[in-house]
Amino acid sequence: MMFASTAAYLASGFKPKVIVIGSGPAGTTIARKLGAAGIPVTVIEAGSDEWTEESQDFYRGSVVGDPYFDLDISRLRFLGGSSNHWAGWCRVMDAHDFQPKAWAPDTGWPIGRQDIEPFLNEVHDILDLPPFLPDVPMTEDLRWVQLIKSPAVRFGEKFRGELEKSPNIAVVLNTYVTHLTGDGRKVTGAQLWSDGKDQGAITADFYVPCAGGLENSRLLLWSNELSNGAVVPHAEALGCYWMEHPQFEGGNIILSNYDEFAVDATNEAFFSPSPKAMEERQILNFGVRLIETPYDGAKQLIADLACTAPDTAEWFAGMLDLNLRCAAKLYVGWEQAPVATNRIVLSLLDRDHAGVPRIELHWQKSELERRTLAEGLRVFGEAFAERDFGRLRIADWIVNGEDYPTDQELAGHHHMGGTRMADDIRKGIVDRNMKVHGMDNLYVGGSSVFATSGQCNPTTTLTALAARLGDHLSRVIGA
Amino acid sequence: MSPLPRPEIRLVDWLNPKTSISRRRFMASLATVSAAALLTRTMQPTRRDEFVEVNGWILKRSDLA
Repeated sequence: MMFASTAAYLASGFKPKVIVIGSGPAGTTIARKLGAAGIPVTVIEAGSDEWTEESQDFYRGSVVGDPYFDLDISRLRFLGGSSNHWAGWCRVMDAHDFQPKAWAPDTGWPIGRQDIEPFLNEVHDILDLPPFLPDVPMTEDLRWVQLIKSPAVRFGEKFRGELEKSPNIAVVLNTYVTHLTGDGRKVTGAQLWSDGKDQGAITADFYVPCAGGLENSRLLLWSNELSNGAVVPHAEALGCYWMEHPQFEGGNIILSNYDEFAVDATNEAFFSPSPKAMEERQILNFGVRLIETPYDGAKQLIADLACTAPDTAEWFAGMLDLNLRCAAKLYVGWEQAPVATNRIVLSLLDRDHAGVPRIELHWQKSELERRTLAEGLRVFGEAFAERDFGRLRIADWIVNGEDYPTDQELAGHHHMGGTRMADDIRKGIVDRNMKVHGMDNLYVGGSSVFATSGQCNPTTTLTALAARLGDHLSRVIGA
Repeated sequence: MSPLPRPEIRLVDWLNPKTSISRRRFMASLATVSAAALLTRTMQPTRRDEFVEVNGWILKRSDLA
């Protein structure tokens, strides 16, 4: 069922067992799992079924620290959520991404990759993915890794028909959950706002915010402020450990040829370090994206190399004569260290039209990440030299220790953390089942539960986690 | 040191993407690289002995032989 307004939904008399807040990849996946299990679920979507300027305005906020995107363009507030502008790149976080790293504080998840693997077949169907291919070691330190460029499922489009037909699922558009109420053990209601006014509260047995990697924290922070801590009783880490995937152009490489590793349909290839390399260099995970450059780019690089190593340049010049596609730009994206001071707080100055404080995002890249960028490129360059695949030149700004460029992509629009998963209530908000510590009926879905970010795009992993949570809730409710 | 051969084109010519060059001319251009450039490079050790970092290039030590 789908309702275009709060009033239409309230008039229907539908009684949900579960209220899911948000209709993006996490919310839709959880609702579909519950609906399929015969459990009545209401999905509250703040926007309509298409983009509107008015709805996006609720996402405005401010950023303190490193340059970052405007918060209202970095996510979307309508049916299907941010899947509506998702690029579709897919990879599941590696097993070692879930493990603690002794050289990086506050890393490690309470679950492992094996806990989400049973749900990956479902994820393939949800995201229309081909099978994953295993990593291919290039050297002891570097692996070729697959990043699937999928058709980019728009959840609102793909699943709208199913949601409309389901007797167990009610999707309510144009309805904003401004806050949850609670008593310190349970959430007691979800307060609704639409058509410019308060619409009262709705209730259910369970509540699952899936409003995105920024908005989940905002909702819970505001709920906690209004309820004097009765929605998230252990809130030390609430909004904290927020993470992104910074990404910058890292240099250029001359390649002897492209036959030594698989490239995708757009002549791109991706590489990541081995766990051994990360440990030896004391760095975090990273991904190098290799993109072919035009012929003249190769000539320029060889000219530069000639000033350093003429014999090698001559050898490459010979290769250039045989194979014109022999140079590439390198982009590096990396895992961001989980740092408590990278956090979402509620603005003291600015509120949205419903009176909810806007987000003030505090975000800064750390020294560990700078080392990950530079050492990661060295790992990559040494591996390619060792195998004689090519020679890498690291960008001057990295070699010289200059500031990050401000005219590049900056990051991946990947919003992670804020309600992270941890056994320690001082370090996280949800437990291994994504239930808020100390609360009986409040769960969180989406990438805000990520304890660490890994290096890959988050949608595949968050969808798997959502399928896992849907499965868990179905069993809890069915018991 | 024997004198360098006279280049058929200048380095800046073959850097121009519109310039069509032969392998022979390309090699001749490379040969014009000043030996001084080799003396001013800053070589930095890497974690592994078989590699060096020079002007941002990650090279095998044998590349510089």
